[in-house]
Amino acid sequence: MKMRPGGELATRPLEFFWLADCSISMRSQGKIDALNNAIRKSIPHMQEVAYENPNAQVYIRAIKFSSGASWHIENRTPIESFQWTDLEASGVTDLGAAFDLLKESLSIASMSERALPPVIVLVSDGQPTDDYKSALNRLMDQPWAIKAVKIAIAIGKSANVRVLKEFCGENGIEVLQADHAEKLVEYIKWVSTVVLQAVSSPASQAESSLTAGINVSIPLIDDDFEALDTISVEDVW
Amino acid sequence: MIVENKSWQAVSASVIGESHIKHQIPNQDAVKTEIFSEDVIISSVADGHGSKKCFRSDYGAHLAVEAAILIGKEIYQEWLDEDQGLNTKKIGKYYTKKVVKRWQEQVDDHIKCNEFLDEEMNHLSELEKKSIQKNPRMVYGSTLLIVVLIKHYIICYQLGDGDILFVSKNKNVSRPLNKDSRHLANDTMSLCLNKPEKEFNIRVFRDLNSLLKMVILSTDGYANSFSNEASFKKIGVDFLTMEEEDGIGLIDENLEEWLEETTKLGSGDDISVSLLSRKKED
Repeated sequence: MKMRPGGELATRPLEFFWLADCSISMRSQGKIDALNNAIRKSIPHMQEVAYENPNAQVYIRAIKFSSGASWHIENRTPIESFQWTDLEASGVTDLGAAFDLLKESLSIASMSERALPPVIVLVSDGQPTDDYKSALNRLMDQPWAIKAVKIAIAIGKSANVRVLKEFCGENGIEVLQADHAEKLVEYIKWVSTVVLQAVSSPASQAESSLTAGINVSIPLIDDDFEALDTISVEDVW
Repeated sequence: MIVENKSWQAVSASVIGESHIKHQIPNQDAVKTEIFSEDVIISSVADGHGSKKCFRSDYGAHLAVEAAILIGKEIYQEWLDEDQGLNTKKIGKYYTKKVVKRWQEQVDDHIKCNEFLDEEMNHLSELEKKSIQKNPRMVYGSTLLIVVLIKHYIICYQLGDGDILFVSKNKNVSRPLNKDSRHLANDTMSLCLNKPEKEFNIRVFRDLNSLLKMVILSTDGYANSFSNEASFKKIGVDFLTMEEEDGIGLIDENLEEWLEETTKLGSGDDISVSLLSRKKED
């Protein structure tokens, strides 16, 4: 048989972003430790989902924000070689700075036009201390940000759920409220498995206001969604 | 199967996507080419959306290519003036409007005879059910690409994502239609939306010097399988070289297998391709 026509083949890239609140309040009641543990424990599950969806190549990046924002994982890291380095907490909650940093990575020029909808997971326990609203507007000027699957996890009772909901969008996914460490692990596992699976093999969708910008059907968290076995932090936030 | 008239020959294939096999979803693409006369050939590909709420989009894609061909057959004699010039009024929106109307009628009839079943609706969210109630045609949503080769004219129509490539005698590969920036992250224009006839991108090309050697229509699963635009466009060079060296029969024999390999190592999506090749002049 003749050689297959065309050049190099490639699976479709799927960009997965963590946006992690590292403000000083995350230090209390072991919240930052719980977040580090939850993300670390989710890695094998993400790798398993990626393995089962060979037509998507998952890349991980992470932004940390406190007094300002910076890349925690700057290079697009294939899920197969992804390792988590612990975050440390200090400073305030400059969420807007994180949005501005993310915006650059979601520009038309930065993204492959073949990309699957990106996933952005925002985890926060507090109130923004900068002008997050203007930064969110700038982020949402990016078509890829509109089409991203946006998930927010509120840690503890002090998190500003209204702000997190603004990030997810009016018709977006409801903010997940993690009041204790096990719940945080459960939500992060859900994001890392169910959401990742849904985005890895999406179908096309008619362009319409009915889709509310979200182009992936995300299954709800089942009551019997299996949480990971144990983590050491037992405090209720 | 090769179809041909005096000037053109065509082959096509449609393969189920690797991820569709895995998730036990049918091939939601459709492709069809038909010759109306020695001067008129028409080819069409369609890509059913396949999202949860588009659970009959495989049938929607089938109806789309059927509508393109059947309406073409009904009115193609109006496409040329008495002096054999192109009647641009009849070949443009007049045609696409009729195609859309036919598709909508066929979809509405199908719904009337085959009401949505509980087993089709049960797994949908309330929001998804609501959007179907508002627009039942969404269940059949599909894109539609058409190319008409008529006398010395080539007319390209595009609604939604997918690709049309022109390959010249010198093996330059180009896109006759500009890319639509709205087609991002699997969003696409669709026959199921309100007034889809307004969303067709239509362009007419004069084909006086026979520089154009090949036209390739494909659903988006094909282009999405390549690492970049250059790798995708290379199909044009390769297909034309093969046709020149071995004839279109070789492409016809192998096309399905090539597409299967492409979806497996690429996008995982269904792929449909129609390839129209100008015959060698005597």
